[in-house]
Amino acid sequence: MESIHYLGVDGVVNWSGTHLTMNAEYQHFIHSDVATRLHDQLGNDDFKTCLRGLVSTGFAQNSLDAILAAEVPEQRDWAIGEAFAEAWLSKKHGVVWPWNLERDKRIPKASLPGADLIGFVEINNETRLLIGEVKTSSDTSTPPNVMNGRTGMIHQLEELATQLSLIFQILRWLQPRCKNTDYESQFKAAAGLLLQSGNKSFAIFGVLIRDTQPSENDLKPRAKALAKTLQAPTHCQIQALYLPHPIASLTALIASGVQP
Amino acid sequence: MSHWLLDNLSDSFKQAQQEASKALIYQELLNDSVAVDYVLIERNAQALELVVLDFLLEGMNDNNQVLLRGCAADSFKLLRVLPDKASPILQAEHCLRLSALAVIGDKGADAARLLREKPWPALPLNVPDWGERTWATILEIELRLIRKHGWDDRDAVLALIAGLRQNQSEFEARYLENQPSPQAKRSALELIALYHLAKAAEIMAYYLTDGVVEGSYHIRPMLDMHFDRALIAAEQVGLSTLPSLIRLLAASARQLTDNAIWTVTRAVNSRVTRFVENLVHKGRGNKALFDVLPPQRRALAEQGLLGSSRRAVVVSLPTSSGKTLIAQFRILQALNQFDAERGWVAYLAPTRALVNQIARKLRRDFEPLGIMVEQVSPALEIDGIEAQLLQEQDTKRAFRVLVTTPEKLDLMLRQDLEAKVGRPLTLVVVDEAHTMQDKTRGLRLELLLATINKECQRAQFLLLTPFINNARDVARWLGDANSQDISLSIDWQPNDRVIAIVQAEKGNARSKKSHDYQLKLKPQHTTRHTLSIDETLTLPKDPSDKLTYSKVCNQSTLAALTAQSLKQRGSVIVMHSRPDWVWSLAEKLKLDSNRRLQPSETIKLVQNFLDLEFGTQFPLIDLLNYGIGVHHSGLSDDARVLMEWLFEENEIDFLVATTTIAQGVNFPVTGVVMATHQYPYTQDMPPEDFWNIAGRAGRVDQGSLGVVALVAKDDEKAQTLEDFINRQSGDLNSALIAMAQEAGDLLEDLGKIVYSHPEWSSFLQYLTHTYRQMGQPQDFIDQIEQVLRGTLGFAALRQNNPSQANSLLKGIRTYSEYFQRSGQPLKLVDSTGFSLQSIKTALKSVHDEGIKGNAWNASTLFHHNSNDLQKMMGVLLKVPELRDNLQAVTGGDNPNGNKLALIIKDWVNGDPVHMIAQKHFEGDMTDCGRNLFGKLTQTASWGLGALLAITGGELAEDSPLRNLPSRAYYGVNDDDAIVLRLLGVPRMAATPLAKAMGEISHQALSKTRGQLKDMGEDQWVSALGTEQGQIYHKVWRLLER
Repeated sequence: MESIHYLGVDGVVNWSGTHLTMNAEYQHFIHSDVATRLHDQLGNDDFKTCLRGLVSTGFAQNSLDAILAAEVPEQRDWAIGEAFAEAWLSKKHGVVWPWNLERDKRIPKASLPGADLIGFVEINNETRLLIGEVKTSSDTSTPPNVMNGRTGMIHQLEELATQLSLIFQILRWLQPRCKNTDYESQFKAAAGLLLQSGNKSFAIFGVLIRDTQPSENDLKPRAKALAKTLQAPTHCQIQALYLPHPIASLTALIASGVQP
Repeated sequence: MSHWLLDNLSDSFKQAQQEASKALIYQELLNDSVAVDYVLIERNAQALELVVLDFLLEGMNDNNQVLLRGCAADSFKLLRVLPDKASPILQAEHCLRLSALAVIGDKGADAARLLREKPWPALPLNVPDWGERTWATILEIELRLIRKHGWDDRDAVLALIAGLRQNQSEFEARYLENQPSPQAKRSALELIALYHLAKAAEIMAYYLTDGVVEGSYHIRPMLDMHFDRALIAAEQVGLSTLPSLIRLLAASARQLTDNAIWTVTRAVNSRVTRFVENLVHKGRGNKALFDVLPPQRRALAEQGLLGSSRRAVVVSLPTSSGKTLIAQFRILQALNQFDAERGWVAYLAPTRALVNQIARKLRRDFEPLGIMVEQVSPALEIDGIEAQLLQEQDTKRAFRVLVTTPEKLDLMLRQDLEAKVGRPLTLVVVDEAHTMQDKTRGLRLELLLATINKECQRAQFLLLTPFINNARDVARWLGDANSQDISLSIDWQPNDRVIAIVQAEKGNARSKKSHDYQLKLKPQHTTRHTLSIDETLTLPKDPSDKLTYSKVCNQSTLAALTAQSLKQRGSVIVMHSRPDWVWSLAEKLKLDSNRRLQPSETIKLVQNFLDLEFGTQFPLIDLLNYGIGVHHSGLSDDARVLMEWLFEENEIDFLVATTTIAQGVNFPVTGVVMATHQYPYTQDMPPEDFWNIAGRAGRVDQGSLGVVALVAKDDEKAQTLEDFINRQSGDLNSALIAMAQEAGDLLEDLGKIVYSHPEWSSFLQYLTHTYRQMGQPQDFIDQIEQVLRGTLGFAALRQNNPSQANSLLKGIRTYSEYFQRSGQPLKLVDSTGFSLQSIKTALKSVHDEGIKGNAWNASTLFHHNSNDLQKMMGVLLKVPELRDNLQAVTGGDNPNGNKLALIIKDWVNGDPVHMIAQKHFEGDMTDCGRNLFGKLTQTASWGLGALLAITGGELAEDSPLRNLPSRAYYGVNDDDAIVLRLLGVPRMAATPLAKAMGEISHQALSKTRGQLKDMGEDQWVSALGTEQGQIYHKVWRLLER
């Protein structure tokens, strides 16, 4: 299903380019792993409860009612990209996602502090907190635009790694979602390790999803720049996944696997 | 119990605490920023917050409560030193987060103070962007709810919420419609969460003042519902910071509700409810009291003091925990319990100053409830005016609370006070009950309590002490199984403080012989959670200071320089051990830079008063021009109260005082500088007293960091001070233990003991009183042993030193055989406060001097032509209980009564103090004051009262002659003037004002108090003349405020 096209390492930053091939295994991956993450319907109907409760506050609910009742148009290319990345990291790196962020992304742009990926990963027998960014791009230039600038992947990864309050915001968000669940022990291990190391022992993942020909230039220059700001024991991996089809056709591909 | 997250912090947390202490100490003490590792501090603060949130997810319970509170408080302490955030909203969010953590960590008062001192920035409360506006408003109201600066904040909260509701229709739709549809959903959910927070805040604001919201007295379920709904909405917003903040706010709201005065005092009785209504009343403005401090909450609610039927309760809390309020609630409960019998409460305070302070406070708080509060003078005799006050039967005028000293209550009870009052004593409140271990006065208090316990059927006890280890034993002693101790050790502090040692360090050479100097302050590690850092700070110097190293290396100068340096932060108490050293230390602070160009009207008033009372040359008058006050036993009570008042009102920067102030201070100070750690005559201050004064450093209402600086002229002194600071306060021990130790062989000869150890008098009196009270039984010796076993002291003595206990029993046997002989004047023991030996000595001496009943003549006794008073003083000089004080006044070289009689006559006949000093103390005002106010007036009036009982025959209760001893106490020669003195009118004004008011000594005291209150300045002016009338009128109002 996949072949590694390039690999590199500089300090704590690893990068790799993986070319995916369209075959049965790939299709199975799309139809089961990716689709499952995307179609989690939990918590869809809580808006109405929220509105009903508002009566007791003495505030009016008309405008709120109108907004919350409106159907959200499906503009989910990027969401599919993130689901793809999550499914890939689970499959290939054993990453565990305690909470399906897709649920929260039902309201697009919900993520305030900016981490597309929040999970746990085992590295050298230690459970670490994983945070990361996902970018999906059909841009033919290399590296693609989504890697550069203030909203680019590298800058965002840098922010995640260095902004103290951001990490704690993520922990505070994750905490109630792991409490009394199967993920609690992983949360404890990862948070404990993080604190012990003075907020250094965690993993940063960047995933770039492309539908172009693999080129190390997509990652290498920016990864090397990032390597200058990160230090051990922080672990960083940047991966480019080159799809065997246009990104635009992902939605259709997933839909084709869904049983009516 | 621990928490897994904390295990991962360990050393890093300690380092962060050190760094935070450093930042705080530099900022507060030197007004300087210092390089500290803010990242380390923030990381640990955030980690602790994570622990708090983890516990909150489990729910606060008995198992995790202590750790949860501790982590929240620690997180707050770290967060508060972090630099300001970039934008007003971010800064307000930061403030709110740390304030909520503070409340959860029982540091709500600290957060409120912080928010008052350094308010959050102005927020965009009126911008058209409804999202921003609503969030800003929520931040504003939540912060105001925690700050609770009187009614202003409460009213503002309600107005802001009303404004939100009102403007919703205008702004909300536009705000939502302007966003792309998916994002609008998120904003809508966020708004729903915020509206629930607004509603919860509204409930809280109403509850604080009204105690009831929408018909419900129990708001917890209402609050929980709104916080839960806010959380449900916020959780759907995505990766948002809002849910964790809501969790903190919910927990903080629960804690605020638990702290609310309405919650703590709910359903006790209607009197308590009315009292609370007064405390929260709008008329009190910023002084309105909406919630109680954590120790008060624990005592009143969690440990159930208000619901308790325990007969004896010991409340042992750190200084500044608000013990008086606890006592007030207990008093109301006791009054209610025995309302049908119209029971009364005795409130005992150890010093005259505290009696005055407490009486004023209780009167102010209780009179609106129709509860009469009276104080009786500490003079050890009961004059006709007091007798009348005690026996008042008019239900509207009769006292329900009586404030006095233990000695006075002891004497009154032994003269059948309860029977005379005709109503039961239902509660005895003992303030500063640790004075029970005081060598000279302690045993009397202990035996008084033992007597009350035995003889007053309805009496219950509330003992207030600083923290002691054996509160439970003390409570059991009085209440057996029906007792309770409410102890809170040192884990709660009203604010942060630093205990430090200051030394001078040699600087650069100025010449061959002299060197510059620097003041080095070294914070100490103590056992009481004070802030400390492992480095020495250099205190800033006054630029005009040209002193050299050798000149500053003495205790007094170092103390003055340290005080001068600390003054930048706020007012400072400076202590030395003797009045004369206090004066000279005060003089050292008379620097040009301290001089006020224009003294305030208040200062001028006090200066004018001092001029009238002490003469123009009195040095304190000029010291006040420099913002320096003085406080020691050489000043009159009035003058001392005025000094305290000026200090509390920030009218003066320094209060230079003797160390004895440590026993009586119950007002907050920013800094304390100690030139000595000893009381006069080289006795170390007990740890309780040191921590009492240290506990006042740093105000609950302002100035976060309290500083206690002990100065050391050399390393040896510094080491002594370090040892002193680390001395632990331990058990509250009966004074009997130490007394027995000192008495040695005399324990077996109690008949003689009082001559060499007058402090045994109260024990001997206790024996004879108990004998009389038991009906003079033949088998007294067996019975008294049982009674003694019930006392704190004897029980401890038997356990610790059985042989001494046996010696004492032997002595008691011999002594009781002696006083059981017929014809012994035992009754006089109870009416004089003397031991039997002293009475017999006095009787013989009275006989020798030929003093007869007719000597008690109002027009001659204090007249210069009569020598009766001289004879009387001669008699009193022989009485062991009085001897030391009276001899001290004579200077020891003139041991007949002549000098004493002359001084008393001048005093009673109205000579101003400076004239008395001139005539009798070689012009030394301090010596005169110390002897007159500290020794003579009280001792002489007690002695005269006793002589009156011995020689005056059976005088009628209402005979005016009973007032004669009081004249010596108050320094007036007129019964009507005595009434005014009892009501706090200064001495020089009392006589002329009494003349103008007519015959007031026969009417109810409360009526005269009412008249005084109603009198305008013009009436004082017509009685005293323009200048004096104005000054005394204003001063009296101040003294009685």
